[in-house]
Amino acid sequence: MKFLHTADWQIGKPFQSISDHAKRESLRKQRLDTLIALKSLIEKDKLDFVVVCGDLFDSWTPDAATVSGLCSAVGSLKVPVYAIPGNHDHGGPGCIWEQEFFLREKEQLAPNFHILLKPEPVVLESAVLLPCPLLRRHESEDPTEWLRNEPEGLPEELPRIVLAHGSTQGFSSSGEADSESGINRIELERLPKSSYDYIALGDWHGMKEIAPGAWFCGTSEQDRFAKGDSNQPGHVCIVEIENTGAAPKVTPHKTGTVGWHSPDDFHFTNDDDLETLESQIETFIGQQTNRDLLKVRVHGTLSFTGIESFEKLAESLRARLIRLDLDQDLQIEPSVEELNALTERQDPLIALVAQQLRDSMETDPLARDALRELQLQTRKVEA
Amino acid sequence: MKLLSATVRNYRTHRDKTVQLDDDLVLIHGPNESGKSTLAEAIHCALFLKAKGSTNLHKAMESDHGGTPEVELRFSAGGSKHTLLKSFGSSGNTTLESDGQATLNGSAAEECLARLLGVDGTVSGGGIEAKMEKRWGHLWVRQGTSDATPLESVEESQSQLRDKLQASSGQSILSSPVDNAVIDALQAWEKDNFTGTGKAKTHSDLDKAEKALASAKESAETARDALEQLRQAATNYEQAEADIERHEKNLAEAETQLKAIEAQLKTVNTLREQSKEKTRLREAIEKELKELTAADAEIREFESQLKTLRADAAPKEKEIEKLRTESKNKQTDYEKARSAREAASQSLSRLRSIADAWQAHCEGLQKGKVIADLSKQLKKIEKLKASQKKITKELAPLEEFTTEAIEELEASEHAAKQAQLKLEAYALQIEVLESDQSIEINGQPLDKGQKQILSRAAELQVGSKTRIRLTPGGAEDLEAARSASEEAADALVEALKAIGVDSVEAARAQARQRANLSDDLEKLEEQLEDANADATEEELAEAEKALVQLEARRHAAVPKDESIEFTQDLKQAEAAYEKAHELQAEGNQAFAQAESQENATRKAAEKAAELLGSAEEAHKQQSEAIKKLESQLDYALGKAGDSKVRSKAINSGLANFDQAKQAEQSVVKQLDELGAEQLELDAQRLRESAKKDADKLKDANGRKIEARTELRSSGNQDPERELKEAEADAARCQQRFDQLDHQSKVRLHLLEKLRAARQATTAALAKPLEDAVNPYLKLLFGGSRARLHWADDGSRIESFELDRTDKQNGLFEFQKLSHGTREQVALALRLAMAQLLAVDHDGCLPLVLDDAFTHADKDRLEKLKSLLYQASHAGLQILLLSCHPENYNGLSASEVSL
Repeated sequence: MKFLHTADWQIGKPFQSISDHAKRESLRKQRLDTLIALKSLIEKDKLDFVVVCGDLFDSWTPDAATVSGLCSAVGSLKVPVYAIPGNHDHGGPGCIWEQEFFLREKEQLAPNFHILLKPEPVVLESAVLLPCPLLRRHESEDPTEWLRNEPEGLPEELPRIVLAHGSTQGFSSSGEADSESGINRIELERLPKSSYDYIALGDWHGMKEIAPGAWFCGTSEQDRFAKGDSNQPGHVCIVEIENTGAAPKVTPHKTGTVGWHSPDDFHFTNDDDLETLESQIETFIGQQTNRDLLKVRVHGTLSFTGIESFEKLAESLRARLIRLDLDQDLQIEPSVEELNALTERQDPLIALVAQQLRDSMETDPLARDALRELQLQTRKVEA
Repeated sequence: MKLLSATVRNYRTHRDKTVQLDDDLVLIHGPNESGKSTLAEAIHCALFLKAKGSTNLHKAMESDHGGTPEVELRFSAGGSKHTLLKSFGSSGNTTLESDGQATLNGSAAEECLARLLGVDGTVSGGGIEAKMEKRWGHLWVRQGTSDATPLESVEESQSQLRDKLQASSGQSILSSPVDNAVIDALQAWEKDNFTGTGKAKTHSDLDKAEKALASAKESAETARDALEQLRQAATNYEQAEADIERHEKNLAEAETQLKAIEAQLKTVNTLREQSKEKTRLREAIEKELKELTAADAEIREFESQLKTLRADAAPKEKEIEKLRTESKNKQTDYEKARSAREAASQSLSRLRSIADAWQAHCEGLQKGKVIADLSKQLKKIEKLKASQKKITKELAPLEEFTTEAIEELEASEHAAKQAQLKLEAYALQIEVLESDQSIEINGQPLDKGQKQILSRAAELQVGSKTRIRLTPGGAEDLEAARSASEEAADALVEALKAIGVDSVEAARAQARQRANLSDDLEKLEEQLEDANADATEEELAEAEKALVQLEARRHAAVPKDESIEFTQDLKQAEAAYEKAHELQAEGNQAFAQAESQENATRKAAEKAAELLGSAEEAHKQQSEAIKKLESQLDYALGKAGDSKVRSKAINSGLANFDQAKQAEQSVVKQLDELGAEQLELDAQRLRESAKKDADKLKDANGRKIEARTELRSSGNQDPERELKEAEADAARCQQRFDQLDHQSKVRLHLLEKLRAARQATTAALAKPLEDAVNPYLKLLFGGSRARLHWADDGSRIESFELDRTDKQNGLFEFQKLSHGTREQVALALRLAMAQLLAVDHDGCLPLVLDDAFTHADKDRLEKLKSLLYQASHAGLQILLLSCHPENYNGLSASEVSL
């Protein structure tokens, strides 16, 4: 018996930080395309079904177009898809799962789509699913609590698969340990290990086996800058269980296509470092456009020329990347030549003011910018 | 450059006129229309106007005399002397001869001239008048322009002036074109983006960014509200569901409990009926028993009170008897004391009469003595009155001989003697000592040795032809003296006759006798006055009357049964009175004692009577109370019976009561065991609770439906996503605004610095000129200062202000000064500029003042003269043209008369 474990699709994620609407839209669409692409994998590996461990939608109130998109993608997978709601698309009052337009689209586009809203065993032909749906955004109770004692009457011969969404010790959707401590917490250690064959987890966007037979599969398409290197976002897990009690065989499969790059902070000692930064960035994005996002913090000092080059670089990157998240703490430090070019000008007022600004750089917080403005204005006038 | 002489030929009114100008101060004067202004203009045209030409200026030069207008000018410049000859007109020409140089002609001469004068070629072409006005406009003051600011007329020499100022101030050039272009660009940007008060202009980038930010924030707020409303609806839905579950459970529980309680309450009702009956019975017995006990207690109380009252009343009767005896004794004591006081009173009355009789007797004796003395005094007065009468009789005939009368007589006598003496002094005695002719006085011949005394005018005839009039003492005066003498003698006789004496001496004797008698009479009258005859008589009458009254009083005072021998000796009588008085004092004392005794006994008797009265009253009341109690007791006994009967009835009632109470308590106990009250309360509570739960259930169902409706999504939008997008938009707007705001701050900061730098430079550049003007201003106003302002681009001096803050008068723009002050200030400024510019002209430049200061008053003129004199000493050449040479007296100018 083989199935696909996936989670945290977060379809409809707005990516509001991207100012360009077309880029936002393309990133949103990519998430659906990645789902649709799972079909070939399912067919190739002859998978029996798909389990989705929460956060299929980014919001608990997605609009109809987003709903249709998701239903269409799920429908295209052909095999049965079993899903539980997560904290983003929880099953509380007013949730998407009971809205009329969802039910209609599901019926028409994805008859293979099963949303499990009750914590009760679902017996399939080849396995028993034990869903732990989140019925509110912030659930203070452990959603797996009902499994702490093995439910009665479960068929012995079928492998038992737990579907849950929430944070465990050290792993949460925000990537920070114990964030929102006590909310949607899953206490795996309290579950009787021998009673369940595989625990399929969602919420944390990285991929990892956090306990024997317990896996976070991560999001199929990365949707944020990862913290740390061990996250491995952009994967799904192919799980094979030969028979009840046997250890499941888990094979991660990369599905993500969008590059989310967040290199270490970059420090400018002088203008020469610009070249280093440029080559570093090139290793991430090469010559391609509209495929990557870059988050970088830069600090240090640059001359007028340096800052101008840096601004041009940033301008190019903004055009090429889906998003440039630049945290800039740069000090303008004009070079001696640049300063002399102003202070020694034949234009008495410009030279005098340049001297005054130069001499007050340590005390006047606007002096450096004003010097640069003076340089720019002079250049503009002379052009 | 200095003008030395000028010759004008065929130039308007001048046919051929030469003036010497080789002095520092030259006054060219002449009447109106004598050609002063023409001369000044001719010199100006010679220096600057292109000779060849047919402009209006050229035409205007033409003279009625005919011939080509010509000006020959000698001047020094560039270190040597020059002779310039210009003939104007369409075939005009210029010749310039310079010491040691070849003579130049035509345009070469004009070019050289322009170089020497430091100007940009000769003036020609269109708009010639305006061009000429600008040429050395600051040095050439035409008629009526002396109050105009030279800052405008210096226009052509502005750059030279700036060079001089830069050289003096050590300041480099003011600002470069690039400087100005940068400032202009920033100012244009500032004007486009900010209002005068520094706020962002509508539709400026900053304003748009700010508005976009506000709008984005508002959108985010709207989205937040929408999402919050949805979340609230979800919460409400959950809450409603939880409420519904809770209230349904509550309702079911309450109904079950209520059923059980209602069954128990039925038993309770039956027991309650029984309890009521038992209570009614017990209460009836209890009431009867209370009445019996009360009657018994009342009787016991009456008996107890009677016993106490009687025990109290017995000793009181004895006490009353004792008080009665005591009262009687005190009354007897009082009667005795009263009799004693009455006897003492009678005795005192008798003693008082006797003493009074003796007192009257003594006073009668004293009065008798007084009467004798008064009678004696009266006899003496009679005698004095007789003497007075006698002297008065003797004095009567001498009445007229008063001192004043005698003095008048003596005066009359003296006057008669004086008049006689005067008469005698006037008289003229004539004696014939020898004569050969007949001598007659008033026709009366007077012979040899004959004497005649003349007292009045007389005619003396000597011979037949000589008549002499003699007037002794001046004729009229002698007559008056004679008449006065006679009048004085008559008056004396008349006065003597009036008082009846023969001589003044006799009158004096009579007067002496009168004075003696008057003295005697006066003495007598004094004695009589001292004796006071009238009072003495009155006193005597009163004394006699008092004596009669005293005798009557004595008689009345003697008691009828008493016989007293009254002695006529006063001393004895007074002793007897003393004795009687002492006896009366003793009687008084005895009476006071008796009276005191009477009062004391009376008070004691009254007190005893009072005590007795109170005791008797108290006893009476007590007796009445006893009687009343006895009657009440009788009545009560009649009603309730004696103690035996009563005791039996009470014991029987008590037994009945106990029985009834036990029966009642038994039922109450059963009710208590059932918890009846609690059952009722519980039933009530459960009913109310059920009702409330039902209401709440209804409400929760309503809320659930309402929340479900709100939660039903159309799918048109995703509120959560919209909020995220709106918040991101707002953040971007904020970032954009912050960037623009920072950029604006940087640009404004830079602009401010550039402006300040320019301001500082222009201020420094203005200083040398200000320094040159200030001494002149001090001369004019005793201390004001010049404030010159360069245009921002440094192209020209834009404005002038007179700083009079040293006199607390503030700053004054040139145009706001009075006409006279403008003239003064403009001259100071011209002189200062000329001084600075003269450096390039061998230290000298001419300043032409055509008919200036015509309206200046004397004080101003004096100051202006000082100014001109000082300027000429500083190296300038001043040419004054005026039709009022007297205005420039004392200037020490060389004069040229036209």
